[in-house]
Amino acid sequence: MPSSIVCQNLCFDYEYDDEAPVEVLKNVSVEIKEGEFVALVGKNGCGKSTLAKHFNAILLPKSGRVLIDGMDTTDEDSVIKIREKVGLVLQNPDNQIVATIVEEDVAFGPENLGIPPLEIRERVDWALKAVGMYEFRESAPHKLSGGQKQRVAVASVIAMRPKFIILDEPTAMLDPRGRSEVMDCITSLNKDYGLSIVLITHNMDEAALADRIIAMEDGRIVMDAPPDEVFTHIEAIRALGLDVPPVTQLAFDLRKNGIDMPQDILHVNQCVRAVLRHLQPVEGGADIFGNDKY
Amino acid sequence: MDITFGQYYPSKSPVHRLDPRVKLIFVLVYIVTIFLGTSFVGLGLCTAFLITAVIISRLPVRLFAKAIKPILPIIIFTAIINLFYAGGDPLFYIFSIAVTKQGVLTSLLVVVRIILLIAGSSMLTFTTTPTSLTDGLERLLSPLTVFRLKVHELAMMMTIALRFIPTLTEETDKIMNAQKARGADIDSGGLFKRVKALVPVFIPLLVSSFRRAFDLAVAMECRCYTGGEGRTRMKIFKLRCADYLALGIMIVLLASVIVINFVLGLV
Ligand SMILES: Nc1ncnc2c1ncn2[C@@H]1O[C@H](COP(=O)(O)OP(=O)(O)OP(=O)(O)O)[C@@H](O)[C@H]1O
Ligand SMILES: [Mg+2]
Repeated sequence: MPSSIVCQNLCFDYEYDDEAPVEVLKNVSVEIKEGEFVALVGKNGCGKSTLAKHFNAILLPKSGRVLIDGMDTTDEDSVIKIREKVGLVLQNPDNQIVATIVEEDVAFGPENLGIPPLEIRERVDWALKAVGMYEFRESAPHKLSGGQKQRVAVASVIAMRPKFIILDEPTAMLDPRGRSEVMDCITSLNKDYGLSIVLITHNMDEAALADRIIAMEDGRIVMDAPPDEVFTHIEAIRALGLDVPPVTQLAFDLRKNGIDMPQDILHVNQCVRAVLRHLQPVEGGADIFGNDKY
Repeated sequence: MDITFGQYYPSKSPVHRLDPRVKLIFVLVYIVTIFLGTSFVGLGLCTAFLITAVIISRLPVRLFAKAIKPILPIIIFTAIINLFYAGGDPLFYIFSIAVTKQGVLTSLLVVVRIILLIAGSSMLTFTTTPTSLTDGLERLLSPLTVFRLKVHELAMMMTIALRFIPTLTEETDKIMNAQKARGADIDSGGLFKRVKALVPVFIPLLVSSFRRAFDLAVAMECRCYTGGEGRTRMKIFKLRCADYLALGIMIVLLASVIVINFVLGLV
C-alpha cells in the first residue's frame, strides 16, 4: 500500500494564558500521496508552518485527525514511527544541526532509531551523496555556506529513510546560489529517489517546480491544483496576497495587451518559445535557437 | 576564528590517533603517578616519559610554554612558600629567615610537579578534538548510568555547547556591529561603563539563544530524539595495537614509580 498523509477536518489553535485562543487551522482536509511534490503557499501567518508541524506529530490537532499511513498522530506509541516516515526541515539551518561534525549530525537521526553502527554508516554516506555533500562529511558545520548547511539538514532527515520530507521555507535565509543548490537537491530527491516533498515557500518560481500547489488563506485551504492551472487564475492568486512567477506575469501582461500568449507559462524557456513565435525570422539573421525552427 | 577546537593542535601523529578513552585514562593515571612520585628519580622518570610523548606527538614546545605561562605566578608563589616552610638544616639566611636544604629540595619538587601536571593534561587537549573527548568521556562514564548519573545527557549538552559556540560568537559580533551602527559606544570608557555598554548586546543575544533553543528542540524531536535510551552510535570505538601499547606503558610507568618510591625508597 502506498504511503500517505491524510488530514481530516483538522482544527487547531494556539493556547494563550491570558487571551482567548485564536483559531489557526480551520477544518483543513487534505491528502498527500507517496511520490508527490507539493508546494504549500500562502500569506505570512496563514498557518502553513502550523499545518506542517501536524504532519509529524510535533503539534496535535484540537479536533479532526491526522493519519500517516493510517497511524493517528495522537497515538503516542506510533509517534516515533510517524517521525521516521515524515521528516521536517526548518527554515534556519543553523538551528537544526546538532553535532559538531557533518557526518555525526547526519548520523544523529538513525542513532536515535537504534540502528546498528554499520547500517548507520551506509545511510549517512548515502544521504550525504544524495545531497551532494559527501566530500564535506568531516567538516565542522559552522564552516559551511548557508546552502551547504541546509543540504546537511536535508541529509540528516533523509538518513532516517523517510517517505515524506516537509521543508518549511528552506531557502528563505539563503542567497540566490544557496537557493538554487537547495532547490536542485529537493527536485532530485523527488525525481531520482522517489521521495515525497512538501515544500512551504513564498517564492513562486520554486512553487512552480511542484506537481501540485496548495494555497492557504487564514487557516483554510483555498486552492489545490497543478501549477499550470493555479497560475492561470492570476487575479485569484493576487487576491490571496501571493505573486505569480515573473514569466507568468509577463505572459499575462502581454495577453492583456492583445498579444496571443498561452495561459500555462511557468518557466523561462516556455516564455521564450511563445515570444519567439511572434517574431518574424529575419533573412540571414542570427538563429537564436540553433537548429530549432520556429 | 576557531574557538570550537579550543586548544586542539591538528596533526596525524600516533598520539593524536590514540583512542580518546585511552588518553583520558592515561592522563588520570599520569596525574596520580605524579602525586605518588615524591622522589627526584620518580619525577625524573615522569619527565622523561612526558618529553618522549611530546616528541612522538610532534607538538611544538611553544604550545606548552603558552599553557604554563598563565599559572607562572602560582608556581613562583608555591615555590617561595615551600622554600621557607620545610624546616631542617639552614643553608643561608634571607632577612634572617633560614633557607634550608630540605626547603630548596621540596620547592624544586613542587615546581617540577606542577609543570608536569599542566603539561601532561595539556597533552590531552592538544591532541584530542573536543568532539572525541566528549565521545570518549560519554563511553567511559556510561557504566555509571547504573547509579542514575545522566551521562548521555551531560555529553549531549557538551556537544550542543561546542556546536553553538561559533554560531553565538558570530551572532555576538553581528549584534555588536548593529549596536555600534546605532551609536552605541562599546569599546571605550572605564570598566564599569564598558560592562554597562554590553547590556544591549547580551539581551538580544539571550533572546535569540532562546529562539534557537526552541528550534533545536523541535529539530531534535523531528529526528526521533528521546534521550539516551535505545540509542546506538555510528562510530565504533575499537582499541588498536597502539592503544594497548599505550595502556601497557602506562602500567609500567605507574609500577616503576611505586617501586622506586615505596620499595627502593630512593630520593
Ligand atoms: N508558537 C506559537 N504560539 C502562539 N501562536 C503562534 C505560534 N506560532 C504561530 N502562531 C500564530 O499562528 C498563526 C499561524 O502561524 P504560522 O507560523 O503557522 O504561519 P505561517 O503560514 O507559517 O507564516 P510564515 O509565512 O510567516 O511562516 C499566526 O497568527 C501566528 O501568530
Ligand atoms: Mg512559517
